[in-house]
Amino acid sequence: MSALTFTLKTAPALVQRIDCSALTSDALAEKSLKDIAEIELQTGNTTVRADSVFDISGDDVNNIVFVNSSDKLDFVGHSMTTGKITVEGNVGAYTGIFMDGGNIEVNGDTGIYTACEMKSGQIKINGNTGDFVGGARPGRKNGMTGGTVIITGNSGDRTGDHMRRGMILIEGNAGDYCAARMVSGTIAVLGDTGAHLAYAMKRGTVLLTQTPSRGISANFNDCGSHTLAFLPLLFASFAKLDSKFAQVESFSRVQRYAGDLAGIGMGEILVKI
Amino acid sequence: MLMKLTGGKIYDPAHGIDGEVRDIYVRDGRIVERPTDVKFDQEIDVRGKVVMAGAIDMHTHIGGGKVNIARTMLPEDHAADVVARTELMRSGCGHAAPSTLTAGYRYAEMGYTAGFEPAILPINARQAHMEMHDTPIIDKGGYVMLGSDDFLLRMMAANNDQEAINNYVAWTMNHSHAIGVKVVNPGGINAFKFNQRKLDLDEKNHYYGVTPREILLRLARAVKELGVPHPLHVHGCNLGVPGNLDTTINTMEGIEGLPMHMTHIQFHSYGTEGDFKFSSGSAQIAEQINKHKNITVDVGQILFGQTVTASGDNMRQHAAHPHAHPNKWVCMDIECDAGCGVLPFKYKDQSYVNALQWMIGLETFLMVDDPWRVFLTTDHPNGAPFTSYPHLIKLLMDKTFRNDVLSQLHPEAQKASHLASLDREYTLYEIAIMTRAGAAKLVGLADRGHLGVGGAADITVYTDNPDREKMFTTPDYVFKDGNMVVKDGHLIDVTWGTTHVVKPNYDISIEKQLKPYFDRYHTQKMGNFKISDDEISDDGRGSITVQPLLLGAKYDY
Repeated sequence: MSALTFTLKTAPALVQRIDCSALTSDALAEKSLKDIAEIELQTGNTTVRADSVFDISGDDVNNIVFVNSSDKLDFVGHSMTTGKITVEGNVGAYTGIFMDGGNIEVNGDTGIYTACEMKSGQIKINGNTGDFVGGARPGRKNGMTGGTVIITGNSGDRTGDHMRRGMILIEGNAGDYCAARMVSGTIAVLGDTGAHLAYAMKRGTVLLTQTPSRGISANFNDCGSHTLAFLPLLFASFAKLDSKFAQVESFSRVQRYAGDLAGIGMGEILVKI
Repeated sequence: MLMKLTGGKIYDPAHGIDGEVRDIYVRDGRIVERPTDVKFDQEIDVRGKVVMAGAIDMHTHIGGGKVNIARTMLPEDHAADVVARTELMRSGCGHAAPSTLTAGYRYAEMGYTAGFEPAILPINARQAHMEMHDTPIIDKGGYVMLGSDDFLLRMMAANNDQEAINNYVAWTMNHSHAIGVKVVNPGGINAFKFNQRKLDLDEKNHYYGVTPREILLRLARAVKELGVPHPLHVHGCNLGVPGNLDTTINTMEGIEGLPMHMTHIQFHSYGTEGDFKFSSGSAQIAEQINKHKNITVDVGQILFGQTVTASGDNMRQHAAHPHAHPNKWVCMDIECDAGCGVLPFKYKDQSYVNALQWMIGLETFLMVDDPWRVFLTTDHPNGAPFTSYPHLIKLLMDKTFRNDVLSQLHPEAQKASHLASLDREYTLYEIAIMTRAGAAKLVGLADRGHLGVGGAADITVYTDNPDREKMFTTPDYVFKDGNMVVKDGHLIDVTWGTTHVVKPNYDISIEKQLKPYFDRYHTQKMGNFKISDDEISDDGRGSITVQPLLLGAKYDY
């Protein structure tokens, strides 16, 4: 079996964004190539046949590849529970929204709301992401509730907004308001973080390997330096990941800041000493 | 255009007609006598079908600031209920707080031809009317909210005479285009701003020294003396507080026989008995309603499921905020004129309190003897969205169904209620009173809610189905001003209803006081506050219908 490949046609160029939520292993299971070609995809205020925008080849619905992808392809991996999706190129908004298992790998950048309200599985972005990684949809109370997101580049603003559980690992820098309104879970950053780190954070952990250049908010209380026994265990859990985090030398000495004290103040920022 | 509806079973309580087979003739949007010319442009065979006037919802939050706040705050309510556009209808969304257009379509498809927004703040009236202007098919109107506005409280603190207050009320009704006056937690919204978190009927506002009882008396008297047909529309003190039953009874007795409509009475009928310190007070309340002929009520029935509560009562909404589901809420002051609170709520059948609230509402329906004085509402969307009315009608008309639902609720709540022993089943005639004739009379609509000659041809035709929920969900035909807008439960035409108002007389000298008050305290000048008729009718879509005042009003200029 060969990977089911959707190659985005270059002509005509995409005018409207395309909702790709129908193109997951779950949605395509037991569909023939002909059925798949006939799927109507939402675009703007109309729908188009899948084969009018993609050249479709291959037959393994558990291994889906988007080639020549564009940042106008939204909802890739929507609600998927199994299989693997690989994207060659940039991809649009809401990649991996409601994902409950399986694996997405993007060789390019993603748009806003990557891993929005994700429940389980793994998303790896070999590039940068837009704002609201692992966040909640506007007006909702819970962002991602499980799974792992690995970003080799930089993340946008408000990473982990309303995040509830799970892990976001950023090998580059995080944007402004990283971990804002975070309810729980773990965000680790190897690079720098932007302004207003952990604004209105409730619980959870932000792990930094370097002191943030924009400082720590006055709403966080310096709790002094600690030796935390769980950190080596956390790093051990990274070992199986295909990420720089697997190579980070384990440490357990950190400066601990607790906050946001404007709220319940049970979150923590841990900075490597 | 002459139309004949042939052979329907007519339920027209305004004329005492209970299921008689008659023909109805409609000419140019009005019901007429049997015409001498016998050539009909259209004849519709409705033999064997139930024919009623179009239903009237006399208390439904379909416009104004708080509904927009609810919409803004609840994107999940939109996402879960999306309506695509058709050739006829615009797209829309929302279950608990539907968009304006969708609300109009849904009302019409259920056989409703009028809805009245019960909480129009004077200062926000323009926005509320513009929103209702976008609500198609149904007629609309609103009750202007007074009682916590500083101007009235100042007048009362200065002990101005009743004449001055009548003037102010009439002026406000005219310029905000209202058909009634509503008071919400009398004085409580204002007291909240002076850090009072509860206000009983005889408790003084810390700043103005005015009590809710005085406010109610003053306003009820104003409404009566101005000849406004709709009695003062009262959302009383202590909404939702266990034990508020005493306050409610005191309110009824304290109004000194003046006409008063007590809204969503279910939320005001709670006792404190039993292990849960929460019990049904509906028996006492119903007894009082039966006794006091000056009192009318609507029930504000709750039904289980997710909805949103939107109220001007920021004091009680603030107290209720820990129960918000999902956990988000808004309380705000509105231009120093009043306030509002919006919190999403999920009524659960396995919650003792919610189950008992459901029972209290139904008990009230079944124990108030006179269907002309009790009205069918869910206080949309506070108790449930208006789309659940057919379900509610079935609960009232079908004892077996009611007891089946009852038997699945919280067991302790079942023990605390005697609902199961109430045998009453509403008849079609009584439903027609509650939702048509009575409602029109209560709101003061002379030409609606009945099928007599001269009445507007707002007509709903149902198939007599023993499953009353099915029957009332999908009428066979709905006519609005003589136009067929719904056929077989589906919209086939979109028309635009009128805005009903009353215009009580007032003495222009009141503006001498109001102008400097607006200049000093308000965000708009007095001239801009006044809504002109043109703003509602200018585009040819909306119109204003001035309903007559009661005869014998004090001021006949």
